[in-house]
Amino acid sequence: MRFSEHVVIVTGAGSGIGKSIAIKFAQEGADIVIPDINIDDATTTAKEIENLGRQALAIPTDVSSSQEVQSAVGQAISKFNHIDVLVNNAGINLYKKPFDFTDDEWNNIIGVNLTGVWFFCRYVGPHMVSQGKGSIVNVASIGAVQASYYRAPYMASKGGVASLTRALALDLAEHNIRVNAVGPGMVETGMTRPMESRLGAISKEFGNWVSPMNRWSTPMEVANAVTFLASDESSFITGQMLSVDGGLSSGNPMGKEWPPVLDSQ
Amino acid sequence: MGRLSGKNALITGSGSGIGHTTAKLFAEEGARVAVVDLNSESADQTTTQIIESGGDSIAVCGDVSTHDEASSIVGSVLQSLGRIDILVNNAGVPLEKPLLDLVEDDLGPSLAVNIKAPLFMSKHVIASMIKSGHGGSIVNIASMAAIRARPAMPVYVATKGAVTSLTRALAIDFASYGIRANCVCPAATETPMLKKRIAAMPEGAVEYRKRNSESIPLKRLAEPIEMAQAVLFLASDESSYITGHVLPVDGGSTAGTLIF
Repeated sequence: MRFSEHVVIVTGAGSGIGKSIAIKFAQEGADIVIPDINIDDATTTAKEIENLGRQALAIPTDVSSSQEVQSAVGQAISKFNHIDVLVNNAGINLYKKPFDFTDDEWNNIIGVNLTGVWFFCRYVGPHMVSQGKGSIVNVASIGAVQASYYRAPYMASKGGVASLTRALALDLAEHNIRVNAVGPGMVETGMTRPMESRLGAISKEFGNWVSPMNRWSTPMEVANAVTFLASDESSFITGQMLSVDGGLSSGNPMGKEWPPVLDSQ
Repeated sequence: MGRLSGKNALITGSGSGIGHTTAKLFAEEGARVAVVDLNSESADQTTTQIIESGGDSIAVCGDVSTHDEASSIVGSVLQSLGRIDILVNNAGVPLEKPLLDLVEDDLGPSLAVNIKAPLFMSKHVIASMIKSGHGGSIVNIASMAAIRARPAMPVYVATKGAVTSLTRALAIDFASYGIRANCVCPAATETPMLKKRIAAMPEGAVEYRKRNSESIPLKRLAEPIEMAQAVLFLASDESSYITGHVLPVDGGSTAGTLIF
């Protein structure tokens, strides 16, 4: 198995994409640390990982707090002694017209989505440096290269994650630490499903129409890309964002037949 | 269970270099591999090595860069294997010639092998994939030069850029048939051919490697297996929602620059 005797931190693994990522790593032999702001969700994921025969450590953590991240990394190190892979997955999203965002909302989104990534890199990085090896995978978004409507702070934060990925890839290469990102497109998770009732909502059918592959992705399809980048199979890949977007950023639906064929579900 | 169990793959230019390593890795992962190369001796060698290690492979000699020969190559692979699930457009030729020295005839091989071959091979293989109803995965091999131009090789840079654009075009045109298309952009890779070139450098191999690794954040050249692993990931079902992506395997080179 690719991750036997590996310790992997997956932030925000209590739900959504992060949960699939954590389970995928555990299935391939890793023990998992789960910092999540929602400790009930994190504990549920931890139990599922223990049922797979692996160890798990759920830690209540607000990733936008420097002290809480420092403490979470400290707890991970005292339990497992080393950290081989860091997956910065925790993220939040809010849909509003641009000038309706309050300062607190802007700070909160940037704090979790961008500063949280920085804090984990900052506190995990030195352990990887002393181990002489490590792999960091950030969950950015296809929004880092092409925006979509009514979530300006989210787009800015994800662009920041993609830039931070490149910067740390350069700075940490000499320590044999690779830093990459994945760029999911439309993923069916709890965060994206209740789309029908809010600003900028798109239906499942409309999403299917926009997607060249005519469908949304599963969280596990994102997890597969994360494990590839975390593993030694990608040993010469660093500083990249790997799009997992079903071709969304490759083309434009202009000229595609309208109306879309409606999903029968 | 290998990651490509039950799949048939056609790899162009797999008699040597990155293609050769990719063919062997695919076979280890359970694929039946059609080794296509202009050089029949090297195609046979790859196939023999695969079979000797317990894999399954056929060798097909031919020129993939013309419409009709590409068609007959695909036809004969289909006859032997029944179906093609994976196409790796790996064959390519460099041209180290600055713009001001270019003459018309210089373009022939570059346009043929770097552009016409992936176009025509994709055309014939995709037609068969649509007919089979099983979908498929196409992986094109471009070059880091498609993203960061290399000095004094404008034709190579431009034709490899075309490969990245072709990848996106194939991705959106055939996604609805369950056919994915992606692209790997290798940086300088320690293939036997490059090793031979490096050994013959007047400055010496050590100096050459040092100088050429300087601009690569990981401070070394790539190994062929590192390209093959990326191709395998994109060819396999693990990348089932990835299409149209251009993936540099470049040790961090395109992530930054020495100074700005």
